[in-house]
Amino acid sequence: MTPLTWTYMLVAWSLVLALNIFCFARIFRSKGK
Amino acid sequence: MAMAGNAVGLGNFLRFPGKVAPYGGAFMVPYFLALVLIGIPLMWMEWTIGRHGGGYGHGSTPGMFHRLWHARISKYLGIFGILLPAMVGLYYVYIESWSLGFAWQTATGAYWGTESVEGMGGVFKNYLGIGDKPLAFGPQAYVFFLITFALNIFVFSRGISRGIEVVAKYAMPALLVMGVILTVRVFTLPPVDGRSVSDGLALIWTVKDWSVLLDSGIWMAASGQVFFTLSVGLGMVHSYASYLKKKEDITLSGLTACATNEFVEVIIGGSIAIPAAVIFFGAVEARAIAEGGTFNIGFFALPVIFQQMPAGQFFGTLWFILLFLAGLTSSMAMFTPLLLFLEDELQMKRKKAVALIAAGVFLFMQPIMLCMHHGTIDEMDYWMGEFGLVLFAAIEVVIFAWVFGMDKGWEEMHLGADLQIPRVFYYIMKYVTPVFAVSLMLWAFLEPAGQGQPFGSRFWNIVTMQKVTEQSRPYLWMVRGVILATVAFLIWGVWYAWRTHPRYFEVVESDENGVASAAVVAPNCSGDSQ
Repeated sequence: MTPLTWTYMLVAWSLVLALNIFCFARIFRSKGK
Repeated sequence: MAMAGNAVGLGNFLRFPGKVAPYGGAFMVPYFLALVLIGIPLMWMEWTIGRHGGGYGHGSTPGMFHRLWHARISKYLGIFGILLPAMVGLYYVYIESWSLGFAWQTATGAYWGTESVEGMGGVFKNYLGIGDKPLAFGPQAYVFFLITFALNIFVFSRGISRGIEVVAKYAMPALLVMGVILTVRVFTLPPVDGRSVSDGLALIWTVKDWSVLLDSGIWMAASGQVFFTLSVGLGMVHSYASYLKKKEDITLSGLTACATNEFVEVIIGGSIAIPAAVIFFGAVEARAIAEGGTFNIGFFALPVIFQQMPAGQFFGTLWFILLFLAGLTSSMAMFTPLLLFLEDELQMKRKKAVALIAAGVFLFMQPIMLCMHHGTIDEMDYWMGEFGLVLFAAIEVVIFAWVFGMDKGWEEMHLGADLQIPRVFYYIMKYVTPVFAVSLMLWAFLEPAGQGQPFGSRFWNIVTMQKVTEQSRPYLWMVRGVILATVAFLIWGVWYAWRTHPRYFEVVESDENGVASAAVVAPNCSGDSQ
């Protein structure tokens, strides 16, 4: 796999993970209120 | 959790790798675009339609659409939201039972020694009883079907909060743990003939040629995958959401269901089957296996691989249990819209409604399962899981965004919201999502059968059974008969319900808990079923 492909995959994974972290952080925050 | 479980299904582990493999990394561009422009907006819309309709005591889409649009036709258009999940459930439950059966076969080492993909194809056919006999009856497959069917009926009969949510609460974390264990196993596999996990990931993520984006096929495949994986355009999300109170959050919950599904699909689903197949068979053969059919990688290739890895029996069993749980968390709610329709609109008692559905579903499943070698499952999957899905999605998006109105829709969506959706999505939902959904629907009619073929030839070929043998045609007509009989029953049901107790369908304001005025709520809509 080329460095460019690794970057492409890791960017996509990061976006998905970031969305999950954002959602669950907001859920825990709203539950804590 | 239940909504995330509803979204996470067999599509994440079996269908996704098969769709990505032919196109490589370029596939992810239309996939993510479709997710943002139609998948997530549709999820929010369906949650909103469900909670809004649920406030008036409706748990299925005929009543929900009636509350959005007071035209005579609206309730009849809502029939799709009961028909599609119930019909998909007719074959999905059987496919799900194969996972349980193969988990058993792997745990007992029943196929150990069959070390080629072709050989596993034979094992699979033998398991299903596909041979020279007129019926595809495999005794073991049938026993596992009965277990799976009974489990599904038991869970769904207990309702959403006492059945489906309880199963999802345990099945989803178990599924995630199993997925992570299998991903780590694949990532730590030693190279075979110089091929390592990075070669496997390269098959999914390498962009060989951006010009494939000019091919309509990749856009259709990606959009279809987004629909299928999120379980939107079916009618199930609506029924889940109908249990929410008027000011319970839907924006953050809907987005979280999408996010969890994408984690399981893009990161876990894309890192098990294809990378493992590439390590053991090479990129060319792995792609050919994936393109050969949805089940080829999961049921033919992976069992061969498990036999060649240390503790393969353990990991193989884990893989099939993972598939089974993914299937179960989706299928257990497929008959819920029908159940709620019988309870809410036809005012049937729960026990009677469950018994009627169990008997009807069991009866309709038999010809589809036992004649699957004639293409009955593919026929049902095309009409319900492919064509019906985009048709219903287009209908509901237009009703919500343009008939009910996006201003009212946006306001309704944000009642009690824990997340303010960025304003840009207002315009996406008002203009882009409807145009996207209607385009997909039109394309389902207009798609050519292949290069150089006229527009509409694929649809026409399927309608007229051009590529079906004379011998198989009666069986496919039987599938269409099952669909038409169900449609006829639902049309009658809607007509009867609106005729016999019209006051129940009159417009009333629901209170802040989302409960409609007691005077007009049907006797069986007291919420006991929750």
